[in-house]
Amino acid sequence: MHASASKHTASDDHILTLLRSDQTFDRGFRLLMSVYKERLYWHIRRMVLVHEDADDVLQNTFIKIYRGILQFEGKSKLYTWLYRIATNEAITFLQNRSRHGTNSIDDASGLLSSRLRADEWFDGDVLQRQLQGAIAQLPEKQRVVFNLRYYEEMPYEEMSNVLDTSVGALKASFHHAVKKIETYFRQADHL
Amino acid sequence: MKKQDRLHDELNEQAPFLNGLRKKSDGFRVPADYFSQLESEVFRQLEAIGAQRKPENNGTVRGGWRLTLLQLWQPRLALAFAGALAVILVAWWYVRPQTQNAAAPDIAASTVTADDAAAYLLDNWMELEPTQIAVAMPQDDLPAITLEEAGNQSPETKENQQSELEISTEDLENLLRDMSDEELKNLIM
Repeated sequence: MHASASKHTASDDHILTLLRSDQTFDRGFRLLMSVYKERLYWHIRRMVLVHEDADDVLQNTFIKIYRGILQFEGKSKLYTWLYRIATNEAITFLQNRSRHGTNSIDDASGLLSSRLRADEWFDGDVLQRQLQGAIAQLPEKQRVVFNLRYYEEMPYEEMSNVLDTSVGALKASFHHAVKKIETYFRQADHL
Repeated sequence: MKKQDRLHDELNEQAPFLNGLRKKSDGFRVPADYFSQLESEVFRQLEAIGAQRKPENNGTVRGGWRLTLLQLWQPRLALAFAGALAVILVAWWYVRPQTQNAAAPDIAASTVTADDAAAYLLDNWMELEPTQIAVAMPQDDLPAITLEEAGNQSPETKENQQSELEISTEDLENLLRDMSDEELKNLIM
């Protein structure tokens, strides 16, 4: 309740003002977490799928933000900068896991799907499981673009700042991702 | 709302099936109180690992050049600096004798007097090669021999000439006393 109220009242400027003083830094950082924790969590969760992994990646993300927040120069929006860190952390996590456990994208997506089946914090139906399986077989960049657009409805212009990619390339990437997912479902006879 | 409509149109055009799936729950859940405890958990982690904030990029805001130096003073940079210093010291060690030899004639020519040279020779003549002393002798006193002749000489001849060059202590002392200041100076340079 308190976090929800903070989310609506606290502006990025207020957070940054608090962060610039040693006396109010911790208060500012708590406010930053309360405003952005859920958005960042769901962004990460849809990348790594399993709650336990999402929790690890989110905590690492906040540790990185804590260490580097004074280097944020305000050239982009705060949430753009935060999303970029969270995205990089999630991709690094997936790459490390696939490097140690599997040899190909198919293996990696299979591993993600099997971990999702074992996750007690996922209770989606068959279609949702298949959708997550289809998303998991996408290349990392397409997966990020698809999730940001499909679940978070992020405009391409903002996504361009987060991923440092042109709007045209992002639109193409989303289109390819949608087609691959459609093909995946078609092969499973759901269409 | 407009944003949602744009996505709706986009998906309807590309994949209507996916647009329909969006209306259903995605099935992801989190444990109860997860978000309310997250901040405390992150602060606990930060304390456990002793995380420190990196200073601001703008060095003029706090600390100025001291802050910039502190930023540079990282283990990796310190190691690189120590390595570069070690390479410079080793290079200097190898170059040092050559530098001293190169500087020696200038120093001798400018500061050593003839008396100093004579005193040095009298004290150290036993350490000098006869040929070094011969170099300083007037050309008239040297046996005339060309390089070609030296190469064609038999071993016996070379041995005889070597014995001729060998000189007794007494003769050497006399020789040095008879040498002019200029000759003595040439001898040690």
